[in-house]
Amino acid sequence: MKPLRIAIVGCGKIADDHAETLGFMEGVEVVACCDLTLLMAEQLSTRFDIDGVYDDFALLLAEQQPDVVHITTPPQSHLQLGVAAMEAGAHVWIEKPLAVDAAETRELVRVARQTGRKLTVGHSYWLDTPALDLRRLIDSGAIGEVVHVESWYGYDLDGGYGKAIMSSPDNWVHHLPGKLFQNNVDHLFNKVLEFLPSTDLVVQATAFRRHDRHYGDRRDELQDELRVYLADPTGPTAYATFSSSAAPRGHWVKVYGTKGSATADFNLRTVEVAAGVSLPTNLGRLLPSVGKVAAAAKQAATNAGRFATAEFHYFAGFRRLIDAFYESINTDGPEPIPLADMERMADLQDKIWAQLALASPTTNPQALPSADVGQIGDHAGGAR
Amino acid sequence: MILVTGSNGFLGSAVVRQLVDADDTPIRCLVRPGSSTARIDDLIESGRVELHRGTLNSNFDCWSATEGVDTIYHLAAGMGGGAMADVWMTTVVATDNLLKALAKRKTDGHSLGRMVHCSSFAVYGVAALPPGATVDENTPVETDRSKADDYGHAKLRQEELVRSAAAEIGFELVVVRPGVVYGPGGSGLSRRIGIRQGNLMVAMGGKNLLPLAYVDNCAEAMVLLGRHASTDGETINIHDDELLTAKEFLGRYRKAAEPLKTVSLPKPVTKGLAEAVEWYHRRSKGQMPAAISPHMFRAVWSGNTFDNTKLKSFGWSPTVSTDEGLRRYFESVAAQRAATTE
Repeated sequence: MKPLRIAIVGCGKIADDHAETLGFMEGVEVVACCDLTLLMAEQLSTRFDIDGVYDDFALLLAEQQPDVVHITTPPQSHLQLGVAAMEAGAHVWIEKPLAVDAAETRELVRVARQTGRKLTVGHSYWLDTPALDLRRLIDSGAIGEVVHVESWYGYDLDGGYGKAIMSSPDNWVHHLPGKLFQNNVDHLFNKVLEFLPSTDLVVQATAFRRHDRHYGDRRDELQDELRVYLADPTGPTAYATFSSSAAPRGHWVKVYGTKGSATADFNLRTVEVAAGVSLPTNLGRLLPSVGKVAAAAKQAATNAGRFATAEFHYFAGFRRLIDAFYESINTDGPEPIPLADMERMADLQDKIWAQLALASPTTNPQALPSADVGQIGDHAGGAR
Repeated sequence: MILVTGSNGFLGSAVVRQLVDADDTPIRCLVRPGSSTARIDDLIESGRVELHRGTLNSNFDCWSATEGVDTIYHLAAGMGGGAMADVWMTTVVATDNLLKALAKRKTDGHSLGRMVHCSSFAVYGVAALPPGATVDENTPVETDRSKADDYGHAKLRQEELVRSAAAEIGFELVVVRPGVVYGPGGSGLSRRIGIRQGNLMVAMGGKNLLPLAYVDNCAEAMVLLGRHASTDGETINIHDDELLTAKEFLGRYRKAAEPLKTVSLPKPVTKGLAEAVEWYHRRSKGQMPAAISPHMFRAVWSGNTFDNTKLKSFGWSPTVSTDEGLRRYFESVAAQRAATTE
């Protein structure tokens, strides 16, 4: 079988992960890369031995006729590039967020259905090892029926991506409706939405600024803390937290069930089941900690085994998602992430950004949000 | 008017001070919005230099920064350590923007007189040389860019762009390639010494010489070469006369600056480790990064010697001795550590 011809459009940081991962795969060949700045495409091409170098995406589509296009550009260009690629006959992977808003998301989904092309979005953690382990645990019935979910995503403004955002007031992130949050919270919500199936979620959001950086421009007002309460009218509830201040920069989801609860930690690569007190007297309080040590040792052994068999990659979920996406292309099977889930994610975020934008600035972020109105606050300088 | 890019950086700020001392030519310091100006605050406050906030990633800023400029000391570059896209953007794309602004100025009737471009030893194709070979200005540059490290790859492309623009636009060009620039306020220990993880130094440099350049000596050389009448078109390496081996440097550093725990690897072990790391990276399909490689071993740890004869032929000699430079550097590291632990 001839290898699938792949093009990457957008040659920034995340493009490296795509090029490297695709380079290790069988049955694919990255034939071209494209960036508005030709020099950026040149560096990716040189480092990953990609022959085609373009600064004109239409020309790339016409000349290379790729089977698959990976779009790793800023979200403001996703709709235009994604539609052009699918109409040219290519399947499309788009980095998160899929689009700027729900209307653009629906248009991408519509074109995917119309053209019969596969479309996926970079919700890598959805197939990450802790997520799979947690799902297996829940499916086994060990924690019973899900009652509530907590999702936490910590962000480092001084990290590689944070620095890029904070180094320029013109960075594209500042021009998204949900700004810093929108570029990250797919990873916060896609761990929650699978437990809250309703398309009519109750949403209460509040956001505020905690950093005290001063640049003399829009970055000074950039909000970096987000809290969201979600409720499925017929099912579980959820809290979602995005924090740029709390240490360590956690990345976990905790699922509370009727029989027990479990936490999947995406940084530590662990799934921990909460131990309850099952025996009377103080002995009942002594034994659970022993059980926790045993469970931690078992997890460490599992992780060591995965490392030894080269199944402990930093972006394991990303690799699984790419594998699943190409499997869906090769077998004409369903996409790994249902198109309807992309629409739900976009609808939820539109709702949140609308709540935040509707509210008046407040200096009291601790005020509880009302049922339908989110809040924007100014909370610089470690006042809390 | 002289424009200095990267003027708030470690070497850039030292160059600004040398230029201030040299004569009364107005100096414009380009500094990115939000970046600290601590290293040149006194010169800004005294009015001796003009602060120009802007980034070379903006065409508008490149245009405004080059207004009325006759000479550019171009030191702006991504110093590595981050993603290649960032290093490339702040080194290559930024330089391309600057050169486009200069080309437009030429068509508008104002030509740049001279550029002093700060390149790096990292552009040399040392990996292709026999072990122990001397690195000087005649050493060929790296040809296998897919194996070059990110910083070297970017500096090589940046240098190409500058050379090409100098020919097309018609300005004088002096390319300088400093070695290991060190001094108070500098970054951490060079990888030529080894790889540091926290307080542990895995020393791989052994008896290899380090092409040391004390920051003020290096800045002095850059300004001397920039002002010299017969350096147009020249490429000149910059390093001091008295060079230490990696082992000597690390020993003195540990004694005077910071008591790092050290594991020293003999050369054959380093070579074998480099091969194993690259093999495992491929075998595990990227589970661990190829942090070191056989190419890197040959480029960095193969025992080269260095020659600064060309630099000295233009009348330069180091003002600060290596002993004095090391003393100042170690003292600053020790003081910084004391301040951090207080």
